[in-house]
Amino acid sequence: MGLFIVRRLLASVVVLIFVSIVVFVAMRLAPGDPAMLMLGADAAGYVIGGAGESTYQKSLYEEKLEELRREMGLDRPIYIQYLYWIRGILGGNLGYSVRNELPVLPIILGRLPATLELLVLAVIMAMIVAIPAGILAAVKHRSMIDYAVGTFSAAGFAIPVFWLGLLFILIFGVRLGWFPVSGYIPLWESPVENLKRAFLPSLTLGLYLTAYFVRFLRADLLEVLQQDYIRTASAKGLTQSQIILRHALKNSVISLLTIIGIVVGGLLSGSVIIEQVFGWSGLGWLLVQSIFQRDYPMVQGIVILAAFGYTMVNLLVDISYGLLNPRIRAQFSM
Amino acid sequence: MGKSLEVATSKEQIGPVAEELPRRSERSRAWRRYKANRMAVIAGAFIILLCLMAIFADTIVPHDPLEIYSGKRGVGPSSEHLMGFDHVGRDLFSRVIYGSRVALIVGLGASSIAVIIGVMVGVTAGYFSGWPDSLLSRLTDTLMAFPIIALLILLASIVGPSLVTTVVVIGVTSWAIYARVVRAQVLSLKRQEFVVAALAIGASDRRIIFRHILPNVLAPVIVLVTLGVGTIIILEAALSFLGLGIQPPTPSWGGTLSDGRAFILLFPHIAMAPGIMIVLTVLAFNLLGDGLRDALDPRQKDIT
Repeated sequence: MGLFIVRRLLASVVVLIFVSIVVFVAMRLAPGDPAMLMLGADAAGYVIGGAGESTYQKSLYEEKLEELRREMGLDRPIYIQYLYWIRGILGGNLGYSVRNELPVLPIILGRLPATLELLVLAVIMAMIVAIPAGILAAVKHRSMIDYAVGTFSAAGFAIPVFWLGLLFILIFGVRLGWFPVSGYIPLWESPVENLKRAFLPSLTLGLYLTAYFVRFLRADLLEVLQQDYIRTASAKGLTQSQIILRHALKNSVISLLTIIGIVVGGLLSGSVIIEQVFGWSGLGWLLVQSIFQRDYPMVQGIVILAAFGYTMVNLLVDISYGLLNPRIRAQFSM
Repeated sequence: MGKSLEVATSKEQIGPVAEELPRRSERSRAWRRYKANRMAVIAGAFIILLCLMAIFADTIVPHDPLEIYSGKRGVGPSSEHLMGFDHVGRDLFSRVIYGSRVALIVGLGASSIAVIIGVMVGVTAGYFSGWPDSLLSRLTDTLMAFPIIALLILLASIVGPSLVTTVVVIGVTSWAIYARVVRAQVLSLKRQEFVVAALAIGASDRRIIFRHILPNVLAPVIVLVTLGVGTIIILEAALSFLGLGIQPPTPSWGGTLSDGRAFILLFPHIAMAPGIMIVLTVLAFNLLGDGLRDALDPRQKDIT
């Protein structure tokens, strides 16, 4: 088991190094280097804008740019720059926002609760529906219920979350006026207002997750129900509900936890669009905003942290999975 | 009962049938299994229709998708304009028809790129184990570690949004799943007798890969592609929705949805048609994929 954990840990470190290289390279491919971005559009405006004194101001701008580049180490070889950048990250410095020159890490962490809240609510909603529905579909295999659940989950996969969100806004927000349609108010400021606003976005996300969980749980349970130990349990006279609850579900819930782990780890993917639709100022909102403002250090920070979070959650899931299921450990040979 | 007895007694009737049975190829058996799945057949027909619609968009659209009808901003559906007008007064029905082009070009184009990269990576990793496998597997993990939407947005914003970048960017970010599946498939194929036999008689790696391995990974890849096209169409719509995909005035479903969102209070009908088209198209590709999986790979039935 120790070897398994060490191997898995090493693999994660390698993945994180790759991730950092990809993000670093992607940022360098972006138009304009960090120094130009730091000086900002108004400084660059001298170059493009003025006609009369432009040569004087142009040289002034270039001079400033050179200075800043030296200061930021941009005149050094690219791998040195990368290593400096990594050293900064390891020391908790993810860079400074081009917008207001504040460190990006606290800003990103400040947005995390809003996104986490959406995700936790969505997962809870999804579990409440998905677990009974998945069990029912698997137990009553090929029945009307099974087909109904199957249709629901197929539809859930096909409906883009942003369109579903729009429909919800239109129906529940505008026509019925039950919920405010957008905005975010921190939970600690006004719990009621916060939950009112969180309901529609988490419902939207929750429905997608429900489709995902149901499909997974049903398939998993169907497979488990064919195992020998289930036949043994039914041979020794246990009722069907006892078999499902005590034996089959126990097995499937472990796999469901893996899926939930992956969903939570990939939280950003799930919420970028939803946050945009509902004006929910979480991480996804910040990401899209930063991209449009060309705040690359911010974008870089968010993407790195998101990938880091996903890798860590995956690592934890794999390790706990290995602890719970010895067969996985044996298979692991990469 | 009586009917089958009658058939069985006539030798002329048994003859050809009995001879045909063993000759029936795996492909025709797969086709029979596919035809038995009514939903998959409907889905397949829908996709063929959609393709025809996209190809002949120029001739079938009732109106010019770019023409602005003055004074018609946000006017609802009528018999002349089936889906009404968008927020600047363009015919929505024609725009939705043209939007199918973008959806299919991106869906199929990006899938092709993803499949080519994914299969190459998967076969290389699975066939030549050792360091190429470790390296490529970590690379695949890396891609999977990125929140795909964030990576897409990032790349699209760097390269600048357009149809070509949308296709390429989605293609190069979504091959990981193919690589994983193909690698696993190749690993198990490598141990099978026919591959070992081919190795034993001295067949080259190239011959083994192209003659023995690739044909056998085709079925799962086809199924994955079909399921993947739907996901890609949604990704494209999401990108265009954020303004980072197809640029106006080119009609795309995601772009129209984005207009619909901006005018959701004033003209709620704008968001309906493209949304419904996305749902139907993605649903059709998913059902087709399920049908193909059951037909091509009956053992994998019911496993997500």
